[in-house]
Amino acid sequence: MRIVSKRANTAHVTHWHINMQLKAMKDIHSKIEKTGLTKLIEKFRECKTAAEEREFINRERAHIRNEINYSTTKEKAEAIIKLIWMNMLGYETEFSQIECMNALFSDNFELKSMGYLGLTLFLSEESEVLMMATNRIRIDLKDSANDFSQALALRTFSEIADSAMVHELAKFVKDLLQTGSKYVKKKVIMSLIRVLNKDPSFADELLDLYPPLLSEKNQGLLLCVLQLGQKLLKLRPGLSKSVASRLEPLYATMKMLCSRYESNYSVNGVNDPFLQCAIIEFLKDVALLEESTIPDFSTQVLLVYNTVQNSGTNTARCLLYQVARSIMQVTSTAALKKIAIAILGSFLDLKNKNFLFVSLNMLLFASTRYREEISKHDKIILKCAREKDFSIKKLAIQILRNISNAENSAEILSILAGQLSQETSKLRVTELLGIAVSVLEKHSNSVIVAVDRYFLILGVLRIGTGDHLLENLFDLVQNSKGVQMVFAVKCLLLMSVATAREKETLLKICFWGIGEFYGLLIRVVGVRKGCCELD
Amino acid sequence: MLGKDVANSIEVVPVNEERLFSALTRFDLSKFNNLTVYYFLNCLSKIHLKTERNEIKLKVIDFLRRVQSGKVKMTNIARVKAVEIRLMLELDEEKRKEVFDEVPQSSLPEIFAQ
Repeated sequence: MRIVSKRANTAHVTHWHINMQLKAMKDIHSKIEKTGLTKLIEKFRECKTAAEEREFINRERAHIRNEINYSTTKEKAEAIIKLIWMNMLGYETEFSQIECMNALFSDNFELKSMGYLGLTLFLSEESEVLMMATNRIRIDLKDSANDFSQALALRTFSEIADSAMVHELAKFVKDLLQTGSKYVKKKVIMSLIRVLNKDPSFADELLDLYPPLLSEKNQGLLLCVLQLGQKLLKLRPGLSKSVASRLEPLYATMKMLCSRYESNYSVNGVNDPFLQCAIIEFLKDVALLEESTIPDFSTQVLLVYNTVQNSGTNTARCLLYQVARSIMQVTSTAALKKIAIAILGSFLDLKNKNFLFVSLNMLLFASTRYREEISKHDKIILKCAREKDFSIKKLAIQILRNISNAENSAEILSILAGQLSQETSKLRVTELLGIAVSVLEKHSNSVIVAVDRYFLILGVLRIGTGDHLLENLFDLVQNSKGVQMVFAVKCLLLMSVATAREKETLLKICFWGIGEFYGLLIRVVGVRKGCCELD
Repeated sequence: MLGKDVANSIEVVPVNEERLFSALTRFDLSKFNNLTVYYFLNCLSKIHLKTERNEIKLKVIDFLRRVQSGKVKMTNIARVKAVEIRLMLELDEEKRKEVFDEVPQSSLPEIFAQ
């Protein structure tokens, strides 16, 4: 009996110990995991009504406001992040701007970074507090001993700098371009883009400094350099000459990315697609300004095309789209243009609507100049014209209009008639009608064929949508004496058809035709018996 | 229907004007909008001007008279147009006066208010 009770006691003690340990672990876990913000969000989510939420936020906000002056640096940083979260939910947190400003002057990095983060979110270019931040940013920019402070200041500058701040600090930012830290250099370049946005005349100061930057190897840094280059080329096209002579490193980078080497930034088997896209875009901009670089540009895009053309991934397709887009914009050879059209044509087979849209958009751009090449894809484009999505349908129809000829115009018009009969929106009907009329006027080889096509299009329209086209048809018939009699007889016959009687647009044509050419109907000819069963 | 088919079906057989007129006047004009009726009335006026047969001219006038009197269902705006066309077709001054007398005075404000 004693042994049993002793065993029971031991088991009880063990159980108690385990419970205590679990409790201690839970406490530690909650201390580690749950920051002040996490708790705040949890409590906010427990609120059942919007009124409760508002009351909770008001209470918390008042609490932070009262306590923030007596808090430690860690608590202050936590308070700022809470205020940022409240602001993101749409609640007013006016006093937080000053708290962020105070945080900038702290030596504690955590608090300082919160202060800068808050500054970018709470302040805009119009804010008056921004002037107070300028001095602090200048001090941090000059703090060469601390890369992180410089980076924080630069990031904030690139987000919120207004013209006055740019005027004050642009030179300091430019001086930092000589820094050895890639991390800071990247932020400097982002800040310089902001400077150029606010003060385009500053571009002159960067003309000599920019070309050496193209030799950078760091992925993130090179992406920023290319973006800055595009901005500079837009502002100072003359820079293209010095840039053109410094493109070798970019070609080398491109060659490396297209080789079998696998970079850290590989996506779906494609080496750093973002950098590849940026390089192609940049080379295109240079080629547009400097014709001597077009052959090299062609080599680079062909290299990319050959590397990714057989990869069926979306990443590869995005890269191919970038290649096609760049080729289309540069005055490159016809063979290269054919490749671009082939790329875009291959996208038309995909079910993905985004690819369909972008490729149709690009084909529309090219359809006026490369009619024959695009005509090879006319079957797929015709299929796209039957899509439910109106934006895709409209693009396909616009391409069809551009590539239409005497042979396929009948098919295009029958598709248009089908679309017009289904369409309910007046605006879309007007757009489709405009396209239909331009096709029939362009490719009808005789007046009577044009008249027939007018009947086809106007016959499917709903009430009140095609009245403006009647004048076109009437003018056409009035000016062609040879078809007037046939037209009048056609009106007579059409009036006897039951379906035509329900279409007011057709009836208007019939009434006009019979009235206008009644003299011809009664004097010159009649209609074979049985053809005109009007009753 | 292609123009070619229509052209093939033409023979030198006179159009039966009576049948054409009766087919035209059998439409339920109350279902159409004003613009369609306008085209219709213009068609009738053209027939009146171009036909060489007096009985067709009289039929047109008679039809317009029936429109005016309300026997043929039509909107008031279309009725005013019908009167206008009849006036144009019957240029004789005496007739014109007669037409004016026939318009029911009580309905005039209603007509012109539209």
